[in-house]
Amino acid sequence: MIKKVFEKPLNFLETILFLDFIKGMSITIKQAFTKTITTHYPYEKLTPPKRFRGFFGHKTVNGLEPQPAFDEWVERMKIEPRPGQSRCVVCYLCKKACPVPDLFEIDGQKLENGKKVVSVFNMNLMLCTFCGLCVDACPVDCLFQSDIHETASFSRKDSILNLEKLEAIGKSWQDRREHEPDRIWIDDDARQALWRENKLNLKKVDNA
Amino acid sequence: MLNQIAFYLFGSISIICGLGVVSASNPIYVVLWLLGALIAISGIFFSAGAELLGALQLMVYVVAIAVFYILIITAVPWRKLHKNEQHNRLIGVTVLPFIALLYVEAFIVGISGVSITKNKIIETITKNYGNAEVIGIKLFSTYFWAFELMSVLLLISMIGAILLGRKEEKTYD
Amino acid sequence: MSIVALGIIIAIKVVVILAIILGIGAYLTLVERKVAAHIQRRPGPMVVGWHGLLQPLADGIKLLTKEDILPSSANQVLYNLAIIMALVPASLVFAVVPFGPEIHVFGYDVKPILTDVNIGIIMAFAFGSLAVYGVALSGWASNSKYALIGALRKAGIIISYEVVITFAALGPIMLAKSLSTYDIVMAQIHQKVWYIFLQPISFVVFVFALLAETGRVPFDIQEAEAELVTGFTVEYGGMKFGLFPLVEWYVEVLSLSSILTVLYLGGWSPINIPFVGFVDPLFFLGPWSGFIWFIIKVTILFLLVLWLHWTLPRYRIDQITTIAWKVMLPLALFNILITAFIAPLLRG
Repeated sequence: MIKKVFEKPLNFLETILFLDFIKGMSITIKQAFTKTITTHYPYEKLTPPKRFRGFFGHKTVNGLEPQPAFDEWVERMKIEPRPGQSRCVVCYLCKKACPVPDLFEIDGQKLENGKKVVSVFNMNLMLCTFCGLCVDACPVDCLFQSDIHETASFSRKDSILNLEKLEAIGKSWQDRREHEPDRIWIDDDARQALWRENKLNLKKVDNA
Repeated sequence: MLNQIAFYLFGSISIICGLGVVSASNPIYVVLWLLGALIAISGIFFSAGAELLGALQLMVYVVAIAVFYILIITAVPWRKLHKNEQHNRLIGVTVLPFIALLYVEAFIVGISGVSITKNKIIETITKNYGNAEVIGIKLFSTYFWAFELMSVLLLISMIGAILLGRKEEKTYD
Repeated sequence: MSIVALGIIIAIKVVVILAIILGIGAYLTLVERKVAAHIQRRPGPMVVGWHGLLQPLADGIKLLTKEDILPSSANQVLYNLAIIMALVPASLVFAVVPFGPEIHVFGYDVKPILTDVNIGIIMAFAFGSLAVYGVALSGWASNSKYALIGALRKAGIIISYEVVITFAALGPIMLAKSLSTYDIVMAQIHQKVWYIFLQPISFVVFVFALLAETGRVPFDIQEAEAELVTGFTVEYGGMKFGLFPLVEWYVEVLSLSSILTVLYLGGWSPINIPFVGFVDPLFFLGPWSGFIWFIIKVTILFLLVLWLHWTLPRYRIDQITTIAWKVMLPLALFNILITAFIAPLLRG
């Protein structure tokens, strides 16, 4: 059944007294004298939720890896896990999942004991749409999206995330938010307590 | 002295603008020249002390009528303006003697001199009351009959315009 | 008074009026942004200066240093002429606005009005509607369809509401028995009544016509952002773009608010109790209190216009012209009829 809803038409007296105007204007004048609800952006910053899809990062080996997946993949890919460094197992799944062909540039390096470590991991964010397919593909919970959303840079070189930057982002995020309960939305006070000021400084790349 | 300077200034402006009206080819420029001429004429009225006439000149001719010209001309497409169309020269040549006659008449009247009232009645009224009163008194005493007739004529034409502009409701019985 | 002194006084008046109007006009952008922001629960400009007080200067510098783009297919002469034709008539209206009572300065009696012509109101309306040429020309000269449509709409609105505003103003003119702005205020002071109490219908009609003439909401159809991308200013850039809203939204609103104050709110007179007298809480300022009252009234009217602007949605163009010809004009004529009966009862 289609239910048709009409506004009650104004009667003659209400029309000549501009009652509809007065209703609207009373609402706006009330709003004008209430407290503003905005954030003064460069001076105040809101904390994004934990699941925010911001800049990418590499989580480091710190004993919190998903088990037994991490051990299996380390064994399969013959990786040397180094504490405090990237968890990446050079499986290229992220590159395969990515809809953009040339976004990832991944390479491994063979060590003397026959095992491998990741040596090159470049992400060209000029091509990225932040869809998160690579994050879903990562089997060892290494690649992830952090809460850093101020992605502007002064040169195109700076928009390429290399391994060093990714690890720095990952370490910073693990320090700040790894233990935060994974809720989609929590109230501001709780988040502000969890969130300390973001002092992460990404180094500029000298040669691309 | 100041009045004379103002009169010659506005007079020369209006003549220059009038020349522009007849010589410009782009219709928008024609309307702008006409606008300048009308404003200069209202300036002449002001310098002659007829402020009401000057203001009405501004309001009626400059704003109300010339706006309609602009409205119509702005709807003319640009590419039509770039064509050099022939003006209606035949009509111009035909009308020329009559316009010349008008100028001769104005010249004769200017030399012989006319006054609307004797004994400078109007000037005294203007000084005592103001422009609007003079025109009001003249309209409602000397020219009362013509004024009323004109009002009725305008009313009839307005009703006619409304009737013509109204959309006929089509009825098929 | 010698002719030299007269010339000096007129020159000073011109300079003061122009400086005040253009300076205030620039700063009213900040007022508008603040009011709009607070109505939408935002703080507005906060960064440049204390609460954004230097924001108009920053905006001005930004607009002036921008690249001056001329559309290649535009008519360059008219494109630039349109700005002048928009700015000049709007500022000329202030020539007939009396800002205060007659004051005595350096041995001269000075009326704070540039020219006290005896048909000041008609001059004000004539100059106010001359601004339509700037709009129409800018629309045609930029050779853009958006601009042309916006200009045609604006011209249509001006033609409709010029008639309405003139007929609405006839009421107070009939009561004051004068066309001079200065005399209309003096008549209200002598009759001890603001004409808003005697002419409420005409006041409302005048306010709506003011909104329409200045292109304010709910009549801002000529620059409807959603359909016309700001209408006739679409091809302009930099300070040229900045001047059109400055003229239309601020200088014209100020000028018409001043005329409204003169016609209905008793000009520079203090608070009025109808037919009893005037109460002046600012008596300690002496002769200068008149100026303050004038400024207060114009400010309140300007804020009212802003308040309406940021509250209401806009009418369609056919609704606007329908309101003008079928509602406003008959109301104004009816008001004239009533006024013709009231006017003889007031003592002159």
